[in-house]
Amino acid sequence: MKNFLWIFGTALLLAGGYSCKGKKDSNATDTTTTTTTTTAPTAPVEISGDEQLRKGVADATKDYPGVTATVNDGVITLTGSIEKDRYMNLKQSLDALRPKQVVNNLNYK
Amino acid sequence: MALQDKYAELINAAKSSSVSNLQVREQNNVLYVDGVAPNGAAKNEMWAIYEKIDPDFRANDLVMNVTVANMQAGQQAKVTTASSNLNIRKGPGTDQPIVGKAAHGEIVTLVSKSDDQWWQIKTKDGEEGYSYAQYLSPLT
Repeated sequence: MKNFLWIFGTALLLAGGYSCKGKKDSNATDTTTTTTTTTAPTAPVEISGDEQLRKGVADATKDYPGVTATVNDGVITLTGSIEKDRYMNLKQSLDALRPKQVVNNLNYK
Repeated sequence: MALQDKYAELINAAKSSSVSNLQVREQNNVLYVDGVAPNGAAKNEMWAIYEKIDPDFRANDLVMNVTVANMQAGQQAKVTTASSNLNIRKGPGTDQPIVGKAAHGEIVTLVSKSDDQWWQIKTKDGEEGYSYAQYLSPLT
């Protein structure tokens, strides 16, 4: 019985779909031409999710005991302190994680 | 467009050193530069220019994700930690157990680069596992 209802329902839906298509057909001559897609020249920047960023940030900051990093809505915020000449290495690791932004509030030793 | 002007020297350097798949995009006052550098030197040059333009890295307006292309399985890499040994782990992640160590300055062989951050390596003593890619510099 259930099966019958389901089949009946799908049949109704299909019929509805066909009838819609039928209506559209009356002015279908120009609709076909408008479907050509314009390829976007630049795709939007991919930003990693916070969960993925937190895991990556934990790995990246492990060897910098003075650095505390928080992740919120794709933004990595750094506080604490670091030797200035080691920051570039840390920034390289963090940028590779695809964050929205890295906010550097670190004090340089 | 303002940020692309600020970092114009960097973008030009990327173009002239044939960084492939170069993408320069500006979004919400942050400039995103992505690409694949032909070698480690080209990547280092880009970071040196970044530091020249923003010496203290405090502008927080650039995210640069440039990887090095010619790092392939079988190729050798040098361990470039600050001074300590590099941990070799069972899997990709600091939560994975340590299965070996590579000394600072040691040359290791790349086994696989399945993960961007964690590369599978092998030492000359035969120790094999995953190490953090940031501390491995390809020998060219």
